[in-house]
Amino acid sequence: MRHIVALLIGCVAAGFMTPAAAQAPCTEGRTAAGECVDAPLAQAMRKSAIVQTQQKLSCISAPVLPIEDRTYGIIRNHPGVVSVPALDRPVFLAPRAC
Amino acid sequence: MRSAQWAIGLGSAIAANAAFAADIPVKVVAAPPPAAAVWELTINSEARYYSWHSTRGFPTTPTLVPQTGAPARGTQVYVPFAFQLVGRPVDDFKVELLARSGYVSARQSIGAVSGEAAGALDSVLSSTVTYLGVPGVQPFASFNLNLPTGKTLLPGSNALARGDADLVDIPAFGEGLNVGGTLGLNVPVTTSLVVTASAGFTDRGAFDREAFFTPGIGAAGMTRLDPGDVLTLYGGFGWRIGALTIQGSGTFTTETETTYDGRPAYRSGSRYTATGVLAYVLTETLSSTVTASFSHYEKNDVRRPFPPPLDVPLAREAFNSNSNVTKVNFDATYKSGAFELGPLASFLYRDRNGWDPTTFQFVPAKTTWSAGGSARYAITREVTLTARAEHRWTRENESPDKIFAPFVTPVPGSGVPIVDSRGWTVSLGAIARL
Repeated sequence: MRHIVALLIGCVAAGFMTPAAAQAPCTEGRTAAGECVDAPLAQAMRKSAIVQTQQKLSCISAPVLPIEDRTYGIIRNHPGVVSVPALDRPVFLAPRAC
Repeated sequence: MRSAQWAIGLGSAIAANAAFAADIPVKVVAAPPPAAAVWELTINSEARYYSWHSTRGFPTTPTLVPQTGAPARGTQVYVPFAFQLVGRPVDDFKVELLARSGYVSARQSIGAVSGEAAGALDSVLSSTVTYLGVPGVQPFASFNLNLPTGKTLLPGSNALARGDADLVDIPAFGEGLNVGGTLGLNVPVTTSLVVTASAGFTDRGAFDREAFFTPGIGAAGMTRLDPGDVLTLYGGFGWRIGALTIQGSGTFTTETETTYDGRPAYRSGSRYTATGVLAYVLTETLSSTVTASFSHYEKNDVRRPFPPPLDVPLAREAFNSNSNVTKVNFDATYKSGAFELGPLASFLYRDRNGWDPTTFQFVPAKTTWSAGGSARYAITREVTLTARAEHRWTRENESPDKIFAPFVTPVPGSGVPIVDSRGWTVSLGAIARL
């Protein structure tokens, strides 16, 4: 009887498992063919996509570790100023946000 | 808590490259093991010291500071620190959390006038969730915050503490509450070719900033500066071919108006960037990375210089006052046991530094070179020490006399001569993975 119950439980569990779930997980997912994706490559692409779409999140740094600053540094266009003809200010150049 | 093999795979992206071009993987990594219940905590901090001297203070434009044209020198101590937690609560979801902040102490002296600032910097919080359950596509969502924990208002001559971003890491110490979200997806065409697309929006909060600068007095008054919000589209690919890794990407960015005290001040032109990376593993002990990037802005919308009123809509500037910026980084790494070291070099070229109202021409270019080296030493499998030293040279070409409102003729002596600067950067750090 116990063997029959165990067999039934096994069949039910197998029925809920999708083919992908039945495989061992990959750290960065799989290709359409089911192979594990190169994990460091996928991770680097995702991080680059996030940093590049949040270029003005912070004047201080991108959302990365300090050791990654050289890799993901954002190029600033002007060193702190922008040409703004501001007649209500006694200057021609006004401070830029960042 | 941690899988050694998984950490080695991740480590090849961060730790194995002494040039810190780490997330561009330079080593072929074997298929990773099952990753269920794997979490890794990373703690990283550095102490960076910058020292520079120049033939003229920064900013070089005479109206912004009590600018006497005297030679200047400055220092900056920057201590960033960050905590990162990466793991998979369930098989199909990867979660990446990051908290980063820092401390800065900066000073600049122009002749007898000095400005300084010290304290906490703004803090960044980031969280990213990636869904790994569908073969052939891995979508991700990222939510990011910039918390205004740093100073934004530096009255008097202390505004001089803000340094040239080509010589120091931190050009400003704080801004407002910024909220950024990114949605994207990785499409692995093969195991070693990944195509990525994403879109991000950053809502930037308002903050107080000095209103204007008066020669001989410094920064005075206060302005409520509300920077424009930013939308960016990204597309890129990464491809590993044997020992060679190639990465290419491009972005398009558009921005809304920036206002001062509720009045439109300017709107940055749309921006295009292109970036390429080549990473090559020559031998088991030698590797090298070259990164090149280019950015271009369209024309800004600015206030009309003449005549008032002030609240008229912004107008497209007659000539593009933005620089095209080209940057190239090179580094190489030699590895022997727990030791890694190698040279670093970079080149940055701005083809013009701003719009000159006198001649209706662009002011000249600015060029920055740097050269140095880096080293790493792995004390244990979990803890690595890092060091870096670089020397920098910049040259900003001369620009002619300027017109300043309410005057209508050039002010003699307001031009800027050639400005040469030199500086050192020394950095010591540690990274621990637990």
